[in-house]
Amino acid sequence: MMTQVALVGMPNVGKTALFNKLTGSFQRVANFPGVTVEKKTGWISENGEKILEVIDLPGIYSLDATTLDEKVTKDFLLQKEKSPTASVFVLVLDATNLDKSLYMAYQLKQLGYPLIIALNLMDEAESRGFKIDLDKFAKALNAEVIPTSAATGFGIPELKIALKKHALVQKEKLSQISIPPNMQKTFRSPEYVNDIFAQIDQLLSEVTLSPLKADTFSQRIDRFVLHPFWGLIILFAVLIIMFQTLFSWSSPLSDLIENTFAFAGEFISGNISQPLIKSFFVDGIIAGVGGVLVFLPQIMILFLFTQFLEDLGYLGRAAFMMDSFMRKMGLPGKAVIPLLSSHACAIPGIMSTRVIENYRERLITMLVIPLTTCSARLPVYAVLIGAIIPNQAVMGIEFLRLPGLMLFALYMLGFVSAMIMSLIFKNSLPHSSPSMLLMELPPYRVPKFNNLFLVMKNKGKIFLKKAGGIILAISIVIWFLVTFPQTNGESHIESSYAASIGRTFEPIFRPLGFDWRITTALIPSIGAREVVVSALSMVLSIEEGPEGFEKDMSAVLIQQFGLGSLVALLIWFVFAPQCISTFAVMKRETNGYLWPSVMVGYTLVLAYVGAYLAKNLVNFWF
Amino acid sequence: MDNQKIVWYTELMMTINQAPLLKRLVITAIAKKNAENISDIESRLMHLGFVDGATIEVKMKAPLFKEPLLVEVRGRLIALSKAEAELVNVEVKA
Repeated sequence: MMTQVALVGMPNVGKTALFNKLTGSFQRVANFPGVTVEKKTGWISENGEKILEVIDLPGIYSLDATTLDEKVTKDFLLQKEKSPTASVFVLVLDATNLDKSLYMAYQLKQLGYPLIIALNLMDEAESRGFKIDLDKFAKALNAEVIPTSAATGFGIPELKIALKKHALVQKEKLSQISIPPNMQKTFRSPEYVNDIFAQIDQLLSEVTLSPLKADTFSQRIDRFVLHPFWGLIILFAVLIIMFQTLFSWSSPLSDLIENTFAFAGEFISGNISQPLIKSFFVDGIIAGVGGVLVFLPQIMILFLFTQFLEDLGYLGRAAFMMDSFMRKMGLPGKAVIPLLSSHACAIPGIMSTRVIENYRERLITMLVIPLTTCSARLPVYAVLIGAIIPNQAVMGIEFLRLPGLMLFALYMLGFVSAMIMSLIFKNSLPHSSPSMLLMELPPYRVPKFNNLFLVMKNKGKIFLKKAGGIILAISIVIWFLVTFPQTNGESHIESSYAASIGRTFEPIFRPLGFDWRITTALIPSIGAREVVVSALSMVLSIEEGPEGFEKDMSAVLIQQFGLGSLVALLIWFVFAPQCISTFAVMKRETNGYLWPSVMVGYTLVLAYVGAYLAKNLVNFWF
Repeated sequence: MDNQKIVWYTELMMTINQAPLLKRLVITAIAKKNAENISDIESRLMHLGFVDGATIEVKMKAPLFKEPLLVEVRGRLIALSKAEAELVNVEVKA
């Protein structure tokens, strides 16, 4: 097995940037076994050959781990039997803030860890006038100290040499480390903590040749960014730009993907004469793969955006300003980005909940995200609103029209129910780890394109690998259900398996005013909500005969189903989990089927009850 | 007499949440209520530098609902919720 090197350090010391610099683009992102904490693995190569495996451990403030992320790192460090471990540990320190980052150094030194210290951000510290006696510093910590800069690559070759050297000898030393029992209690005792801080202050006063000047740059920016008035204006501007970008920048890319796959479908159908095989490739495989890839632009754009804000140092500040407001809804400040971006699409929204450190809060955010009005609902809303509401101006105001008001009401219904559900979950889900804010606002730094690019690439890869398979498989199952059994070599949805299922379930949906045609159309829309429009038109036009195609979809709908059923269907689409991709992404993000099933369960109940009430209210009044 | 003493004492005690903004403050007590059983949040506070005798400064309160608070400790900015800020007693540095 290849020798493993693990990077340890507090959050915001530039550890991940250093990891990226050490390993280049050879990276793999997975979860640590059994938990949803991201594990990044990369390799250091020499002459094109991988020589060392590098693991980027989650940031840790102290060995008295309080969060899930910290516990993972702690188990890794303390070599708990079941957890994996490394043979060399590199402690990454922030040279611009040794005050804080030396804490872990002392803890590890006390336990006898042989340390390699990467004194990162050294260039920034030096430019702020900081000078340090490196020899004295190294001696005091009994460590090899290598000044580095992940931004410029300074010190990286030296660090690699040190790693190779230590890879041979450290493992033996590590095996001799034993953690005294009852250490957990010691880690938290005020005397122990005070003692370490005293040692840090003592050491720093001895080795500092020239002190660090205050970071006036960040302070000056914060005067605007955290300003009670301008700060909020900036925040809303940032959020609006993010939302707009997600909606409009991603659509040409998504269109490109859709068109490419449509073209590929046409190309293939021209070359296959056997209709069944043609249908399998065109409507099953190609449409399915296209249906997976179409999410990529939004995922990558959202992560480009959030990672940019994170690396810049702004994400924490946005969370700081939104925290009290979001907590009123039972969510943490950082949930603002996932929740807002879910109004474009729940898939990137759910993936971006990783910015929320606390797993319970992350889970609540993920559970309520499917209630926000994603863009796939818009075509459905448009057709249904067109069918049930006349296009009339309200109170004679031309631009204020009934359909627009109705659409707004639906958005609000989704948002308000997300708020209510998050409060319910907040008060009912078991507490796994304490919910705390306690976060550091890092100094501002210019984001590095290389880091942003790697995050985008990794997120895209994770989505394709971990969610793409399920989505593709279900699309093919759906294709099968609407295609078979065939009569005289042709497929008709009204005689398909989907229709048999629809007819079977019709009695359950009868109270909502849904007949078998609606329940049948709901089946293909499990793949993607907007498909219900074309599925309904297929079911209807076949029933209507050739003229059905000519008629306006909305007019046919109201004539065929009546007001009550259509309002019920509209409400159904506000709540119902009609999206297999959401399920697949949630399964990956929660590491199992439990929470996606809870999500499907509660939204189905909401959808059923909501649609039932809507239908009966409409029938009562009209 | 005893009652008066207690009143006087509690008036002197203030938490980070009650402390004036932009004044140097000294931490007088953290995790004193239950020293035998220090909570996760208290532990995290200590590891971030909120220890007895440390000098801190409340920089600002967030614009909405005056929460969270932004506190400078050991050269860095930490955001604290109101509840977290209530766990630490301070006095204004003379």
